[in-house]
Amino acid sequence: MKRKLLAVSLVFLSGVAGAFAAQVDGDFHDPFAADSAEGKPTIKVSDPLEKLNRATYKFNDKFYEWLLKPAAKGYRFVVPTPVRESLDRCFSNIKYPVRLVNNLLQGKVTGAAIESGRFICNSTIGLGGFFDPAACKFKLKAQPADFDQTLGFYGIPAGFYLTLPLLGPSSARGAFGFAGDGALNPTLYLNIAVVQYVQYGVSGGEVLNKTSLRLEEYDTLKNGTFDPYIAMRSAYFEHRVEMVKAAHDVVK
Amino acid sequence: MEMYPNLPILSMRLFTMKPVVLLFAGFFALTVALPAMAGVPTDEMKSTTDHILTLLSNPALQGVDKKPERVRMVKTEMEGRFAWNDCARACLGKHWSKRTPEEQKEFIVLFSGFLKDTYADKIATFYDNVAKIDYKGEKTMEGFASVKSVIVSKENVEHPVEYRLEKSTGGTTWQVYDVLIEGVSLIKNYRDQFDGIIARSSYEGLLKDLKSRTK
Repeated sequence: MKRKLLAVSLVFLSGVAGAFAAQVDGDFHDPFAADSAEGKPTIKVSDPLEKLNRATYKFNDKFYEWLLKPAAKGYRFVVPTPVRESLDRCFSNIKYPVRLVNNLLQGKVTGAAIESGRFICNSTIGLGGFFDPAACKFKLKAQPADFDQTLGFYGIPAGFYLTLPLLGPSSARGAFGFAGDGALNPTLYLNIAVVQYVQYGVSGGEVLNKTSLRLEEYDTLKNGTFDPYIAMRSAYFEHRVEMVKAAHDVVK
Repeated sequence: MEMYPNLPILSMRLFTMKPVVLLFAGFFALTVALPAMAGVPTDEMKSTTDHILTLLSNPALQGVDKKPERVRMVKTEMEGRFAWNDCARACLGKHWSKRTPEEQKEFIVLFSGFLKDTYADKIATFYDNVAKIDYKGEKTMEGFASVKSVIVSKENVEHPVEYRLEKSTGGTTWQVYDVLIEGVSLIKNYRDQFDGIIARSSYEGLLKDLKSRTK
């Protein structure tokens, strides 16, 4: 009985809180926003390092505008789009261990199997990943999974916001995720197998190639926002919550 | 010869089975049709996006120099499909009720103008890269609807896009008040930005910025 009373009062309280929330939202009641708040944990943005993060954001922005963008534009002018797209697929194919391990860590055996099938198929018939016959011919779609998602999957909160130099939006958990994924990226081991400069070259080439395919994206973001720093921070957390939710949905 | 006597029985059986078969066939057709059977919100979204894509594929409208024309066209199509008032209101969040009705009206005009400019420009730039749009079902409740779609690019990259709609005041059409791209809500994103700007500067500061961006 007591428990029932508690439950009823909780429901009532949450109803009151909901009504209150609707009111402070300018009376606009979005039933789906409430629905998604139930489905995923409420996103609490914590940014104790905002000053430092904003400075890093400014640095990244200038690095992009002054160095990366002109370089990518020149590169885009010289290298035709199909080649750049093929290279992008190739860089993605190399990172197979990242997806394999994280699919397995999340208990997605099917995902891991599909990724393995894709890797074998695209590395051979796909000429080292330059083409994607696995998706085009065999309907094997990529099963993306990363370490930040895995940590979130096991209930580890994202923690505070972090803008990483050159890498952009991240979080306390995201930094670990990045380190974990980096350790599983075979290109990292080029510095052991060959020389360090080769690894820098490959990583730099990957960034340049990716940027050349997405040149307009950052510009659209900057033109379409009033505070690009907040816009990126808000979108980062929301997107990561969605990714963790997606990880749970697949297992179900 | 031996089979002959069996024939009427066979046909009898077939006859009696027919309604059962039909019933089952109908049932299966129904269960197959159900997930594909989209509701009105999906139909309306689909007709708008299809219409925009058809208009933009006009050979006379291709190329960078024809972009202003494409932008104008998309803006016209967007006009009636969005619930601009509620979208602007939700983006201002808790600051909405602190503004006078005149200020609210001004904000709706400026912000919806900005949204139309931004998104029409985006659509008029990237329409060429859309291979297809799949609709993944809808949910409706109390005059609101959510339509989930996936935009597939020509490089075969999937972009999940969810539209949140409400019945227009007259109740004749469904209008979009929020768009979620890969789970990121337009309303939430602008609300966080506006909240931050108003906290750091003021509503007037935000308005100044907004005015400087609308043509």
